[in-house]
Amino acid sequence: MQNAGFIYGIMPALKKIYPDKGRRLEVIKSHLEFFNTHPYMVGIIMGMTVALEERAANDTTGQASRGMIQVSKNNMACPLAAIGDVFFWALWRPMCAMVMIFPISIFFEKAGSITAKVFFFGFLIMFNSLNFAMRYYGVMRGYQLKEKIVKEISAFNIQKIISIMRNVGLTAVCLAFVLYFFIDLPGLKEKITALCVFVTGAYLYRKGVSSTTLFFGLLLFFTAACLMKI
Amino acid sequence: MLLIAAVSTVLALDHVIGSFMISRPFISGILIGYLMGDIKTGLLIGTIFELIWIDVFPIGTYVSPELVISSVLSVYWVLAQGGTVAFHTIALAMALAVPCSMIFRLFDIWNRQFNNYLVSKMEKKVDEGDEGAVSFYVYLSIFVFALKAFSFFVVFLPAGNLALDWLEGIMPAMVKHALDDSMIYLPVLGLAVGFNFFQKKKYESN
Repeated sequence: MQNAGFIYGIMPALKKIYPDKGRRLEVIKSHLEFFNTHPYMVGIIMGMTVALEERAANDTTGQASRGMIQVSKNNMACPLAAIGDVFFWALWRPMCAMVMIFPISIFFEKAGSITAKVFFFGFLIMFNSLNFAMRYYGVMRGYQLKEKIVKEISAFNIQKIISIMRNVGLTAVCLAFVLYFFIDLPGLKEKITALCVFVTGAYLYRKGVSSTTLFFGLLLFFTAACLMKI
Repeated sequence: MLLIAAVSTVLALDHVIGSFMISRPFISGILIGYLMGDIKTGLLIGTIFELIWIDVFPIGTYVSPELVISSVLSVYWVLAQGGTVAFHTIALAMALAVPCSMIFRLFDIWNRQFNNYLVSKMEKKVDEGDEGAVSFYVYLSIFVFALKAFSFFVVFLPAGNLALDWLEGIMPAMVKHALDDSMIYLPVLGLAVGFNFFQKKKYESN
């Protein structure tokens, strides 16, 4: 339903650009084509589309500008979806979660409302600072630069940022494991078992075993081991 | 229970409006834990779900496991039992909540199919000259999603509570002991998943 959401988002601008209802309806119909991209990156396309609609409204030839809008929109949707999926879903979100989660072992025993508030709001503020910035500046830059926004996006060294985020996430995981290992695991037996679980879990995950299977596998393994009195 | 169902519906709506990540399991876990009077349990359950399923995210038309459902249901079921929270109760509630979240995913797929129907209706209305149909059908689809989520919680919150009670009653002490033990290692398993997830240079071109 992203086409409906897209039209809903640019509707106030369309009403301003096309005060005539008949002409506006034709424009709305042209935007009903299939459309799918990343929710945080859509602002760039929205800003660009509004700017191109403004240009089209003042264009006497008409047809060429309308075609241009659809082509630009569709050409931007897929690459931006790919960037958004990798950047926000696959790295920024898990990295923010790990950065907030890793010191939990230190505070867990005394976890009260203040600690919980720090984790709760810390994650939301950290994650959404980039989310809101992307949405706001996406619309603004898309509007200002129109099709030239592609150049600005490609000038970003996304690979470098991705690499930094991955390393921050990895460091947070390692710190979390060390803290859990020394604070939450009481005896030698628990420490050795934890190491076995970590190594086996990491190996199986690398071999393509899903998180859900690993979760139920661990519960079943411990139940079976207990029943066999290992 | 209705308050928890209403709050959980708002959390589940995060996928539809905004994606502000209030639907992340450790955020929803803390919130439901706070409402039920035990933040610590909410934080523990939410963190375990967050770690083990850290690699799950919605890409394109793929419907990811509904972690918000798993965390809300398990935190509610555990805390609705009252008294001291035992580790095996948490493990059992989590194991019960995961399949329930998959049922929700099924409803979600039907919901998306229904959205396609709404879009075709909207297109017809726009063709007839009704531009207001766009906002009407956008709001209608949000309402349908909220109704679906709320109905799901109204049924599954008390039903799972009864199921957990029953399972606790029939479960041998030895199995409870095994689940108690396994709870210590669930965060370790989550960290193993996280370690592999961040180690992969899947998204970096060399």
